[in-house]
Amino acid sequence: MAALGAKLANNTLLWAALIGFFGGISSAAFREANIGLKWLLTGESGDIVAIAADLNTEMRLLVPCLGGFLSGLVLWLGARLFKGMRSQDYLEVIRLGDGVISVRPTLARLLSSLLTISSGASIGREGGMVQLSALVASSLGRIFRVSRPQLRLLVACGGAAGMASAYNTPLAGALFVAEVVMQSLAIEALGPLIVSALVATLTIRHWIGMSPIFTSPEFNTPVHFLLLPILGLAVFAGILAPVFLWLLEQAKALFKLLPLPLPFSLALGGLLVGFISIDQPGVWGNGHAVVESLLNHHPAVDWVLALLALKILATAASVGSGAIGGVFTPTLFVGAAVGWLYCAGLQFLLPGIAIDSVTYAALGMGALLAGTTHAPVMAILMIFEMTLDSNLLLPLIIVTIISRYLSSMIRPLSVYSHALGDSQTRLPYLMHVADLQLTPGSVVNIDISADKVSELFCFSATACLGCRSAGLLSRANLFAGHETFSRG
Amino acid sequence: MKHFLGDESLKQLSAASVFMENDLPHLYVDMALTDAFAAFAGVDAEKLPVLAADGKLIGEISKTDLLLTLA
Repeated sequence: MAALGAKLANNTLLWAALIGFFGGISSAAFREANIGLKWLLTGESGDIVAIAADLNTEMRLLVPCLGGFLSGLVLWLGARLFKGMRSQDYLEVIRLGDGVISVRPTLARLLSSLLTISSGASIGREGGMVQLSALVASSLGRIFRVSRPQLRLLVACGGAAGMASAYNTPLAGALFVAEVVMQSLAIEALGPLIVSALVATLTIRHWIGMSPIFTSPEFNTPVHFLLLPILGLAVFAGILAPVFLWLLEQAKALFKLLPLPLPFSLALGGLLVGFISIDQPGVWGNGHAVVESLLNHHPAVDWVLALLALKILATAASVGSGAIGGVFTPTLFVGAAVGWLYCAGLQFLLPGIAIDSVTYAALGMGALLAGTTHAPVMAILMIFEMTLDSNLLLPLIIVTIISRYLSSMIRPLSVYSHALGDSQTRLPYLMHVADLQLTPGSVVNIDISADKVSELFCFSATACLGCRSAGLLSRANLFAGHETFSRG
Repeated sequence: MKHFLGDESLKQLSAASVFMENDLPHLYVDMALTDAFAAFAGVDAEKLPVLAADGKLIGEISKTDLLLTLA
């Protein structure tokens, strides 16, 4: 197994493709499990906002509360059953760890995440999808015993595959991991990430199709964009992003003040979401459906304003209670609503101004995403791949770059800073060759025949052999020598 | 290269006498990673042997692993 692993390790792209495939499958499985659980909890399996709208008041209160309690119970049981084992976040594993993700505690967290997102918590499912895909990648790499830097790369590929299959965005999925987690765009890493994300997208299309996740009749119509309003939006989002992150942090701190065990804390978070949803069922779920209605249904200004406020509250309740999930999609909704309202405000102040609210909703998503993740290139590609509207590219570049730098000036920590570790413990420039995991070298006797040596080179990936107390035989020289030798 | 594999004459040939090199590019185990990286830059090789201070071969590292650690 280890020998096969060593051979395959030379072909990183092959590995990346394999992990992309399994990442796509695992995301599809996560999706199906989510649909099944939704059906079990509510008796329906459609969009979570539509389900919420169908339920009566009691059920809207009960379902998120029960789901929160169950998911907290799973977390609590997981912590007791797998004592001493920690479920490592993929971000941390790639950035600081050795690429090893423990299977059982991570599965407990994933089950808990599934229970929360299936019962209406205002939190994204992409967090779980990415974690599952990274877990699969880490386990595969460990079975084949690849080297430590390779294993970290495989987990990164798993993360890219999960992100890409969650949003149908191959390039942005790869860039997410490169820009946010590895903080490097070196081709050695980016190449495999893109392959992995691409294969994952091709795999998941059998479940979710190829169309972008956000559609609107107003996309792909040429926009005559005015620079000043766009600059204004960028500044607005750049200031709002740190405020949004601060709010989420305050919510976490507030829940910590209550001496509640996990199941009750999560149940309380669920109950709060349920309470908010009595008036506005749109706060359930990750926010995808409400972004769609912003882009398609020309809603009224006060509806959007109310939804924005309630959605932020619901997300703070879910995140604060300790629910496992991503804040990526909720951030997209907040950004879209902010952009949409900004546009509506301008139209009110300057009647006749030629700006379109759908365009501003999309730009708002990109700007807030860049502001919270500090990853502008990812944000540009993400919104582009989510809408497939190339007219948005230029204004997107402007708003994301400005928002990112403004936001990081106000608050140097991004949404992932905590998971990525506050200080960099790994300083590659201070490491030595001995700190890397070496492939053990083989040593042969001085009287070995050339035939035997070529055989050794053919059956292992090793580049050179040591001759006992003499010198080195290299693969390159042997085969080059072969040629001259046979010809001569 | 597979072409030559079955070649009978190879069986008689001592590998060390023909193919052994004493100036093969190599790394030492106590080298800084940045120096190791510089050593890779000079040669067209995917992997380089790592020698202990006394010159004995102890293993090899690949350029990919090195780049991934430095990246």
